[in-house]
Amino acid sequence: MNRKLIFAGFEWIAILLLVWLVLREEIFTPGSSTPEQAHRLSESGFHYGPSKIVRKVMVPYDKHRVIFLGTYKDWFSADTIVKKKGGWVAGGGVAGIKIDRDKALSYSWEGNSVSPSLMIYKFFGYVSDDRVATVELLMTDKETGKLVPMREGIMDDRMFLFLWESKQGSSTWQAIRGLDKEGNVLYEQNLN
Amino acid sequence: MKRRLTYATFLFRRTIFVALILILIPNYIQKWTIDKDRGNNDLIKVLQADGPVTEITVNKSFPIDKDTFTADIVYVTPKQIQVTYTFHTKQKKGVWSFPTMSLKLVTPDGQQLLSHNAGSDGNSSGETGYISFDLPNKPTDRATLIYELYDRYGQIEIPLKKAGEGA
Repeated sequence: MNRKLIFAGFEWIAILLLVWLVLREEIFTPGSSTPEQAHRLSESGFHYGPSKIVRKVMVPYDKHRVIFLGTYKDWFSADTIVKKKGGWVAGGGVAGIKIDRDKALSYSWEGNSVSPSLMIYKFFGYVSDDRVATVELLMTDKETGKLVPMREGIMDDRMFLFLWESKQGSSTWQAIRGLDKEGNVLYEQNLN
Repeated sequence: MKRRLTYATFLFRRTIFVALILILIPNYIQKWTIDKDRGNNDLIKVLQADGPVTEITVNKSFPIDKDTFTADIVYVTPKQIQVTYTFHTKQKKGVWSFPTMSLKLVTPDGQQLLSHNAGSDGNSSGETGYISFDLPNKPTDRATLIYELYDRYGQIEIPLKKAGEGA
């Protein structure tokens, strides 16, 4: 009887050890429990940052997608974190882009396909010129042929982000503009 | 009644024990096969096609944040300089593959050698890989391997036995 008890005790200890191994190997938890943690891990795994998160943007049409706008020294980034079954994981855009201080604004963009026919685009940047109050992204709608501007007011964090979903190639961008308070164009860059 | 209870706890305990082992074994087998799969011999065969290969052990490291980059061996052939490396990371989640092509090899007189070829193999603690550079214009007995991305920096002196001579 006593020997049985001792054996049972050893088996429980072995179970605890195995549980510890399962936790250590992270078999059931490949992702992170929060988007913030996934963002931090993605940056440290990339050897960039840690960036200062200036804004956390919940993607309006996809609740499994969060974007962190951030700056780090001479760079800016818009890191997408997506929710998969195992938790939050990197979804593209961890890399910092150099801020060109000689230009009124620096920008970058990225498209991620979410299904064979649907893309999510993000067009983002950092404004160096204090006078720029609004950033405008001019798009042409391929169906109507009309120019559709997207606008964003520049706040203290100096960053902007345009997000849209589109069927691949259903609209194209024409230009990115920086406008002052009165709406005068201070900076314009053709994108075609 | 008591005997039944003892039996139930025994069954419960044993089921957990077996289940945990069944979970862990495939994980370790997978890791082991990934780590075993190294095609280093093939690399040397490719290098031998260039002519005689000089092999020099480097075995020097620099840290990149909490991770470690180690230059293992340098192979010098009449056509190229190839450095093999090991990248070791303690981080488990959110690890990106090492940006091998961002490595620079610079000679003492300041020539930055061009690279057209690199490869890597991921394993459970990081990756192993290689990068090849063109030979320098002027023969040199050493060069500096430089990692410089964002504000991170690391460098290693690479000994070369007169690379670029008689090529």
